[in-house]
Amino acid sequence: MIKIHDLSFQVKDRFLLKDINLEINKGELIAIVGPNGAGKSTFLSCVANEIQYKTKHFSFKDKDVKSYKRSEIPLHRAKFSQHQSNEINLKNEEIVLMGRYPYFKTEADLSDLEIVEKWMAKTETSHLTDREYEQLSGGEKQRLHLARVFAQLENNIENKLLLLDEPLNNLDVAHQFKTLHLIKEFTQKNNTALVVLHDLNIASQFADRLILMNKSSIEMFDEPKKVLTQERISRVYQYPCIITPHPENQQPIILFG
Amino acid sequence: MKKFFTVLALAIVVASCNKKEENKTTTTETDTVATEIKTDRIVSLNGAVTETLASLDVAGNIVGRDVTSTYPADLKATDLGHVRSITAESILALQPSVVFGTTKDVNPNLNEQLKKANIPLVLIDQEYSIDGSKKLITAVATKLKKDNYQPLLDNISNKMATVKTFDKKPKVLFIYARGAGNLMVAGSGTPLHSMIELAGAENAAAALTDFKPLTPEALLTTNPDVILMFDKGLQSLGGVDGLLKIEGIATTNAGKNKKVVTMDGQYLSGFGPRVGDAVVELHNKLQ
Amino acid sequence: MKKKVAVYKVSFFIVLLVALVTALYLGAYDFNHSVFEIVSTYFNTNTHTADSFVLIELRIPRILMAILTGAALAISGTSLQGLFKNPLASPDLIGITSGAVLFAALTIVFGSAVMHLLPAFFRYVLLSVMAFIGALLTMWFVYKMATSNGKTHILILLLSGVAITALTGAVTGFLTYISTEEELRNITFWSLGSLAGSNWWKVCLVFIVVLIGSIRLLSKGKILNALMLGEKEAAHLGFDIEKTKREIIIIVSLMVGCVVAFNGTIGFVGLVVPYILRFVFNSNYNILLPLSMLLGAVVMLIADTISRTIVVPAELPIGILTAIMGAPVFISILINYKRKLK
Repeated sequence: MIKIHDLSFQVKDRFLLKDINLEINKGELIAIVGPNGAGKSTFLSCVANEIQYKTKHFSFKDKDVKSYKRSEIPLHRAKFSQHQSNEINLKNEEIVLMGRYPYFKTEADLSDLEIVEKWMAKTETSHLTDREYEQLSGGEKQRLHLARVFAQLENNIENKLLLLDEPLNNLDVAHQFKTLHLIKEFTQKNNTALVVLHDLNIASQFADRLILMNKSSIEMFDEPKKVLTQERISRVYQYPCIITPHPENQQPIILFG
Repeated sequence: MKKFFTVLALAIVVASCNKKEENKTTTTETDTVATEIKTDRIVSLNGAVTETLASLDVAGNIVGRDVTSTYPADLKATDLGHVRSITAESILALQPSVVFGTTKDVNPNLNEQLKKANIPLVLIDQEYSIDGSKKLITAVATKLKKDNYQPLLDNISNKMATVKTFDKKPKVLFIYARGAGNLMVAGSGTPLHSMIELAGAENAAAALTDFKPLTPEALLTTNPDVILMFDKGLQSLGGVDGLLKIEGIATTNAGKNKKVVTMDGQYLSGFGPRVGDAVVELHNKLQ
Repeated sequence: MKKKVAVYKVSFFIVLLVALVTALYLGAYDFNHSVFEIVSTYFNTNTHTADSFVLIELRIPRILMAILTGAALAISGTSLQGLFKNPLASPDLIGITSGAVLFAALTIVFGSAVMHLLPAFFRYVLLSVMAFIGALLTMWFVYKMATSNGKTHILILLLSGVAITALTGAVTGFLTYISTEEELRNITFWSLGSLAGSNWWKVCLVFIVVLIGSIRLLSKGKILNALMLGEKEAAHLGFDIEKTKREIIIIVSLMVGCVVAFNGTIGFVGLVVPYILRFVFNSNYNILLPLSMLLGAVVMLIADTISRTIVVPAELPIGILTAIMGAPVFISILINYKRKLK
């Protein structure tokens, strides 16, 4: 679904990303993990075409990614960013409705409004309709934007791509897992999700494959079981850890310290 | 809704573009008037012109005047305000048969609007000199087809002939004041400069051109013997005492001797039929 | 919500119509017949009486100019606020109006030779084009100074505006001082504005500019909303951000330039009209853009009608009236801003 050969990104003389090569398949939930400064968000920004990278090859669904028209790519790909605006002077439903902007010219039709309702229900933000956006908690704002991003990809196109940069920040435990289940539901319909996560254990539990990034390049890209070894994690994160299998599903659990 | 506006919009465009510019012939600077002017309802936008009209016995026909037309004081005409901010509508509301103004003061927009309305507009090139006043009187009288204007010209010439020279030319500084914060002096090229010279004196601020802000340094270098002001100007400063409080005034000869002369604004600088009388009075006051 | 918007649209439209009809009857000149009679007589005979001249050549163009100017300034202000993501951005505050005035004054002073050769319509076109250039240069300068990485530094934005207004004000003042060109008029015209010189040519030109400009700006509702998420986010929704920014800058410069070239500076409308609407509709540009045009037209028409009737036969410069109407609102903006900063 995504094929990237030899991608790099530099600012002046510094390489923030180098030698990025990978292939991602349909229906995969890929977690991107790594220590701070490893290049996780930068990589996601490149996949989202937010910054000017250099590459030999970057295809999205077997077409060169740059060949997609500006107006059609929002139906295939959406991105949830780490930092959201603090002040948006709009009603909360209107903010979620923005995810449907690629679908209507001037007036949203009934189906768009129903999709907004559906995703606000799924992210448990329906009760926020009468509140001011500025007064919402960080987590509530986050869930609102998640609803927006999911609403954006609600269509009949096959094999969509969802990019999420640390979507679980500010969310309490229950909402974190609910969000992960929403992402999993999404990928189970043969769509792909690339999620930057801080929590290795969550990554281990939910990801089909893991991209472990370190010092601007990919350290390893494989199933969690294979990537998460004690030696590797301690070395990359520069902190001792113990890896032990999860009592119920045997996925690796990392305990630092 | 959008369609309605588009149609309305197109209608306006079509209408306005159809109304288009009737051919304007080039206009001469001094007057743009049809051959026959009716003089039963006159609007005068200049003080000197108004005075001339009154002297020609048509004061009763003046229906509208500008703010500088203060003489004669009993004129029954609507005050239209400053000539620079008069609108065509206010003038037309008076149903004028002719409008008098100066080329300098009437703005081109107003000019065009009056032309379009077929209102005869007589624009006079006002020069601030004795000759200029005489030309203005002659022009106005000719337009009105009045022949009795010679006495006015003679009066000016006679009055001017009585002006003797000073043994010692006083240095006169004209100060324009609208309150202590707004003070200007009259350099050369102003009507006041001309009046001072006609009265036989010397303009202390002749080195400057036009009206310039008053500065203490200017007062020191010019050191006038007499300060000349409009009545209203001195009033706005609170009389001679208020004037003396202005920085630098008290150190001038005029300040030390409290030699301050005031005259009515329009009388002093109007350059109308009373210009001769004004010069004589100024000369006498400067003794 | 849809209903609410419709209600407001209809109400504003009705108020506008009422104001328009009232304005036709108010003024220094009293008509002898009804407006309808005057108009139909004119069209039947194709000659002007005094009544019809005042109505058709003076009053109606002025009323139309007020409506167009108000709509143009209001929608320009709204669009600028969307572009800069700040409710204080308005043509007068950020200096565009002054830039337009400066270039218009320069054209009058230095282009007088050319101007006198041209027929009336093209004189107006030249003036508008030069004012547009002035507005555009100012806008470009202010935009470059005040934004980086898609974020607006509001302090720099306003200070650039202050600097430009001061500079252009000084130069314009100097030009008025030294120039003998009658057309340059007095400085009050440029700084406080007046619609008294309106005629059908000017109305025609302003109308074309406002028509084109507002059609383009009215389509920017979604993208201005999306910009509130951030430029990158808005791009992900499929919008061409750079192209939109350029378009808004050019169109606002065009509309403000044209309006200012003919009528002088008329302040506050671009700031206050969108602000009032925000109280009811938040910053939803889909709603703000069309409603601001209507409310702007209403406000300007009322202000102009008052300006030419309250001290008859003289006129109060319209800038004074918009300031009286706008300054209290501006103060409440500042109070609200302060409250938010706490």
